[in-house]
Amino acid sequence: MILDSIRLHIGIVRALAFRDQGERIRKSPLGAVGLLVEPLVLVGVLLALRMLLRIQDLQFMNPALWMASGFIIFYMFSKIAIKAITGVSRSQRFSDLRRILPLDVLIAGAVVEVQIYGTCLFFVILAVSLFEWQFVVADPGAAVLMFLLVAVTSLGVGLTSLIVGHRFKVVKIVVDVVIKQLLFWTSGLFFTVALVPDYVRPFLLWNPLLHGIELFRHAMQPTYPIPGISLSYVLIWAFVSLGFSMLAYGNNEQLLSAEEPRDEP
Amino acid sequence: MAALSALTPRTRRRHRHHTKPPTLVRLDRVSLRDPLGNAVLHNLSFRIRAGERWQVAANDKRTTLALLQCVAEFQQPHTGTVSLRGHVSWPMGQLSGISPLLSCADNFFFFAGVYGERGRIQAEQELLRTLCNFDKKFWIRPFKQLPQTLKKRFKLALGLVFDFDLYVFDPEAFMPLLRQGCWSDPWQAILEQRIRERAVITMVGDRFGIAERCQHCLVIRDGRLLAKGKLAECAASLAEVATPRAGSLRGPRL
Repeated sequence: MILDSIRLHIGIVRALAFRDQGERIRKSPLGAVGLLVEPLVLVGVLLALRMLLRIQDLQFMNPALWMASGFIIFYMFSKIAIKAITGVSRSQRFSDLRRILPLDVLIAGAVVEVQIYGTCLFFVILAVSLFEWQFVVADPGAAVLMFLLVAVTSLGVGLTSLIVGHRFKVVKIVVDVVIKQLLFWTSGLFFTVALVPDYVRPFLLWNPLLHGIELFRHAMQPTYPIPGISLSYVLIWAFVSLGFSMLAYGNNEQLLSAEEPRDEP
Repeated sequence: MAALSALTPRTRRRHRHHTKPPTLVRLDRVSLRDPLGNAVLHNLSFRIRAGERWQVAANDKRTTLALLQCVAEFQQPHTGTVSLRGHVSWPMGQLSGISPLLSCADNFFFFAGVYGERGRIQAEQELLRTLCNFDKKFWIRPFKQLPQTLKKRFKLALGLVFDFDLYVFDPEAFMPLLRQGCWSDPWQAILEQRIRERAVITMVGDRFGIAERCQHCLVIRDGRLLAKGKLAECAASLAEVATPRAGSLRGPRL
């Protein structure tokens, strides 16, 4: 019975992800390529800027890979979390289809983001590998694990904010600002944790995204230094945030479904 | 017709050992008002069990439509509760989940992912194609670019291809097909198959032969329940409602 239910919801999430992806491809003037262009162009522009300013302080790993891993993982986190925070109104569109739960829509959205940003990262790794003529990922398993853990954390954080934000509107606003501003500057997009002064590092290490990004880079290049970075910290964040969000969601599903009036058919 | 025969009925009988079939829908003291505050449904309670075929007769068409929408949880009542335990369809023809950006084929795969049964997706798709009878170019074109008549046909066909425990029929939605001469044998065949095997709720006096096969009747006047039960028991009330009195089209203000 439980297995049937799980199988059913996996099917629903797949169907929703298929629909979401299809809609995005149709909306984009460049089709499927258009979905990958935005993050890749951003990384390209920042890399060009870096070259233009002749910044050469990074000797630990390929600068393109370093920058791409930071930005792509951060944007994936940001997109999934923000979408989860604002996910209720979207899921309302399916309130006529009783089998679809708001949670299915949120998970499907996260799956699509993981697919898009994962593909971007894959292309960057492929390009750098071809450029250096050697496979640049030393530990692919750890890299994939870190990528997925960040995705799980973002879904957990977003979902928790959605439920708590339903009761306290200010939480949604605060989390939105924290994700867009605070995490942007403290997640290691512009610095490596090894080069940060010792007295500043403890203040930065509370950020789980910094741990995730630095561990991802470490999986690429084992000589990349990661002082104070911990896998356990990311794991705890991922499972606690997801577990708490599921618990909160289970108790508040009806409340969320009844938030807004439904659309006319 | 080959596509239709591929859709073999589900053989599962969840209620085999019970004396009474399970309840699919239960309405408990349901009330609904229109935007002006007039009662469309007033304190209505009844239940539909698996395999039962119900027809709804009311002196106001809005009442019937509102009831069908409440049964499908398409509309939330203002007071009272609607409990759905089975796999209940949306009111046929009324469906908001279709993506206007995606093609009919992609929309079908979405719905098949949600409502389709494993191993029968191909047969369901074939049946949908038979019912829609589209040119191939319409099948791959974005839904929003389809002519209005084809959109309607697709929506109606989509409701019939999936296997529900209870079908909520709005015969009015099917009327354009009849008027346009699109009501063909596969439509009638799948409709009859659904009526034969599943629970149904519909309006009284449709032109598709659904109401004729119903054993139970629900008679509502001015939003209030006048009679419910076997068709023979409700005959007198049915006759009363069938000839609406002047001024009775609006329910009492709550």
